[in-house]
Amino acid sequence: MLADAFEALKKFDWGTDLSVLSPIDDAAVTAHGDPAVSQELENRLLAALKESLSRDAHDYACRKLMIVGTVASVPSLAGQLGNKEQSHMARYALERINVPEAGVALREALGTVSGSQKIGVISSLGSRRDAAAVAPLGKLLQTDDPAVARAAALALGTIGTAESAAVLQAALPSANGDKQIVIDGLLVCAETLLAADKHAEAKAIYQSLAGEQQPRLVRLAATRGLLACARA
Amino acid sequence: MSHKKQTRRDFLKTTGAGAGAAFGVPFIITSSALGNSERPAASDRIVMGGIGIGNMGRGDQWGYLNRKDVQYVAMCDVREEVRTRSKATIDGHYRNHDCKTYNDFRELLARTDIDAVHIATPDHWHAIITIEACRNGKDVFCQKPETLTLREGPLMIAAARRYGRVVSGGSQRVLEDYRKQVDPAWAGEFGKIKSINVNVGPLPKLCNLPPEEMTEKIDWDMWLGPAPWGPYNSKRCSGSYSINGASWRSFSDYSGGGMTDWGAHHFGGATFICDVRELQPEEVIYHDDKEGQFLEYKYPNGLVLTHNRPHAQNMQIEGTPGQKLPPKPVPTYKGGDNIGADFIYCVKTREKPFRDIELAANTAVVSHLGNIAYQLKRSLKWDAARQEFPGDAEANRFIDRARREPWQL
Amino acid sequence: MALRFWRGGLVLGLAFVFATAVASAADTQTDEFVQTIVKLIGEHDKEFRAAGLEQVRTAARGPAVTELFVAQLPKLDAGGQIALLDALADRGDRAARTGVLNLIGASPDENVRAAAILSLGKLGTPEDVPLLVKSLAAPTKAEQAAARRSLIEMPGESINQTVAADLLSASPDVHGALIEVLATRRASDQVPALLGATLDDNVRVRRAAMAALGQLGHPDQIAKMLPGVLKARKGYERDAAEKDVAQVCERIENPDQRGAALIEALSTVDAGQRDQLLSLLGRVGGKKLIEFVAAIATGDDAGRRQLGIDALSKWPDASVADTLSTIATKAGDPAERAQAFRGFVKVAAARDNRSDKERLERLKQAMKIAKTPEEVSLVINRVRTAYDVDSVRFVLPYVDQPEFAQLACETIVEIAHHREVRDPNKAEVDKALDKVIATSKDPVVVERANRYKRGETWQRPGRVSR
Repeated sequence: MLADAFEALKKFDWGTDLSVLSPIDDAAVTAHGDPAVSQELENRLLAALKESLSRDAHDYACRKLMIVGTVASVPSLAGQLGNKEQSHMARYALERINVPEAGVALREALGTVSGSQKIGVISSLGSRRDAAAVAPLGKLLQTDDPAVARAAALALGTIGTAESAAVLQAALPSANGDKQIVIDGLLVCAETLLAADKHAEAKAIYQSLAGEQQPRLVRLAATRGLLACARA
Repeated sequence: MSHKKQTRRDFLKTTGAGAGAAFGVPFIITSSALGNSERPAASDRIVMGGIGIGNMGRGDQWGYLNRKDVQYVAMCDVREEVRTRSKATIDGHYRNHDCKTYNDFRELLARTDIDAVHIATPDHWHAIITIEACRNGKDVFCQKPETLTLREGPLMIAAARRYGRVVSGGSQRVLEDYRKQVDPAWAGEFGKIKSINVNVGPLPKLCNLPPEEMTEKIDWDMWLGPAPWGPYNSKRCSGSYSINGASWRSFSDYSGGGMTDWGAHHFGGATFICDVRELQPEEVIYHDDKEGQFLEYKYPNGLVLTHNRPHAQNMQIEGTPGQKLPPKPVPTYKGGDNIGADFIYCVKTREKPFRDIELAANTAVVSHLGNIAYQLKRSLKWDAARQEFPGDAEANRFIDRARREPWQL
Repeated sequence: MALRFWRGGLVLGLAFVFATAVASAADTQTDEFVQTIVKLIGEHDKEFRAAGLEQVRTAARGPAVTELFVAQLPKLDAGGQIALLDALADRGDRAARTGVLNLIGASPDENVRAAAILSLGKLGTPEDVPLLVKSLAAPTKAEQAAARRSLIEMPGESINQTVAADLLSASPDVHGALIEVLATRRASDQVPALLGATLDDNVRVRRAAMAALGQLGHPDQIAKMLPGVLKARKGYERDAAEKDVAQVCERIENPDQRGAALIEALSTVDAGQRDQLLSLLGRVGGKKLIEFVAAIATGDDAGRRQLGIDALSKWPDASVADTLSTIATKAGDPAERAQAFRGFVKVAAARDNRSDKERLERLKQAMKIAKTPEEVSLVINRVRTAYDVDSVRFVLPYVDQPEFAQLACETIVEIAHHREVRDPNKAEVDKALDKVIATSKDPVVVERANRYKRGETWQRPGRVSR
């Protein structure tokens, strides 16, 4: 049944009845707690990705790798990050595979992909809260592409470490494009630091944003943050 | 967006004054601007825009248009026909040509004259637009279900708190539809409620509709937004209320199916009845036997909320009626008898609305946990403080999903 | 600390405040925190003020700090006072009570007084009930509404008794308001007082009392509610009172026991007045009562027959449909026939447990015995309650008859409003809607038809669906 489903996957496209793939759906569920079953399914999915699949079939395979993918899936998925049609769904799986190699692959892709795909990679690094990505993301704050700079600021905020805060703080005076997003990233960092009981670091960020020269909304956010620090 | 230039809103917030020539406001003051005995002066009106004006969006828009203390100035939709029709409605209402329409919500949110927005896009957009609105200093009324994934709720709450925004979720039914249970429950007449059942569905499914010729003028890339790419199909993007395959509400890339669509109401109602809106379940127990599948959600205070329990009615309560509890006053809307009025009131007073985003997100968590449990066909434990499934790497993969570039939270 | 005035507003040098080196004990930090809150409370900028008020609600607990916050009230403008009062109420510390009471007594601003009155709901004690009762008759609606809400919210079961103690001495308006408070508080311990109020000479008091009993009453009290029904004036008040009793009857789960309880309650009423309660029996329904009422509706006394038919017409389901149909068919008197026919159509169309097909079948039966254009129109109108494509088919031919065309068009769009009817039968329903579009002169009906053809929905004015 599973073999039939994988055969069907080779011809699968939009409009095909999804039930032909239900053995794969079922296998992705029964794989839980059974490494052998999980590995076999992963291998089959990776093998399928090597075939000439429709976009729909490719995306489906990535959806399943989101569930069962391991370090073994990283090379294949990483190889798709630069492909306009495949990149998102490759990240759909890669972003959720919690192994260091996935982070490495995404960081390496920063240097090789461009355009929207780069923004996608940046956002996945942010979602993974990849602390090792802080330095390369920090460099992207100064890029000429405002969309990339914005994405980097958001991701650094999401990562939320003292290091990402420092990078954002340093970039603020000369931030390209949307300064508000750099500030937003800083505020997010402050919240994360405060939640981790790093009061002094959080307070320092808020104090730096509380000055009269800041726009009203920023001063308000800083005020609210300082109150939160005082309560903590 | 320039934050240094003082906005109309900044000015009004600090002085409470009306229009004044010193700040570049035109000398010609319309009677509408001055207000009359029935309509507040322009300076006291909340300036609003709408994003996503489909079935629910139209209803919300009409509600806000009909308020004398709201000035509705802009709308955004990815369908040209909707923009045309909506502008005609709004301009006709005000008898002017002032309504501006947008395809890209970011342009609407960048306007410094807009105080608040209502969002009624498909669910996969709710978090991104709400958070961006907060960043731009807007208060938000966001239709239910407010989130598509577990990760989105905390991020929306954080953005609202960060910027001191009033963010209300939708669902007028939570307060209005379940009074037969709400009133006696809050009066303590059920005693300690041990369990409550919710019947709702179906689960979302993957959309694999075939491509169709695009006969409407719609910005397809923008409609998809952060969701995975799929070809245009009228049912994929239909806003009809169907959750049986004829609209986006059915499909997992855009919605949580009936579990979130109607779950926002029913789970919201159940948690309101039991006064656990501020809590999240700590465990979901999955059952699959000869009577079918159902779930038990266990709350930290001992309450069990069941989903689709066999032979149980919707909102069926098991309590201890012989042990009446002290009554508590039932929370209600402020400023009016509907959720829109509650939102506008809170925009003015800066209080938290009846369906504050935190309460809305807590309701959505119930739906999302259920969907994940059903998909994985097993029980789950949930750590509300850490917002994760403790020690469950597989389930943790479902907390969020990668967004299609260039969109990110 | 640096305070600067800028463009008429108060801007705080918060950066300075927070940047001040603090290497001190927790008390000093708390003091600084509290002082910051105090300063924010005084902000003209509502959003900065709100940041402070959030802390009033949830932080720096203790009566001393509460009193410090209360001390800010006189320094604020009306808007600030209202906001602070609300926050103090949420804070829930009764140390604020004295300050609140002072404002009720002294503020010239009705909205401030109202906010202060409202905050007593959370901050007040039973000693404040007389003040709140008095405020139900305050000069302004804002204060009245606030008093009402406060009385509803004030915790403690003794409040019910304290409120009830004022019932008889209150003016009718206040009496009615107090009853509504007791109802919202679900003060079932005050049912005796409510029963007494159902016989008051004032209609507002009576209505409030019956409505309260409808919510709180126990089936054991049905007999005691009947005098209140009889006291109610015919028309709206009587109808509402009957519905309130019916609501209590529904608390008896078994329909036969329900009917038996009502018949037994009826026996406590003076024989000369029992017929006036037939209409009530109709609202309760059930097999037990059908025989009882049908016998009167088909009896020898024309006056009693009219009451009986009226009662049958109010039945909550279609179980009396055959009885009414028979009466309509056999009635010699045209007025009696008309009454029975109307009743038959009404119960045939009832949204009860029957399927839509069953509902439609009954309406088709009604159409078979319809004799006048008015009766035909009545049936066409009520077919809208049967959400089935067969209903569309049934009504469609009437679109071609000028006398019934507009009504038939309206009925068709009402049926088409329901997606479960139109989606699976799109082609057929669209054809029917095309006919409606071509025929109807009502632009709302035409717009609805067009929307349903496009698969869109339509919202009734003033209502948000979903």
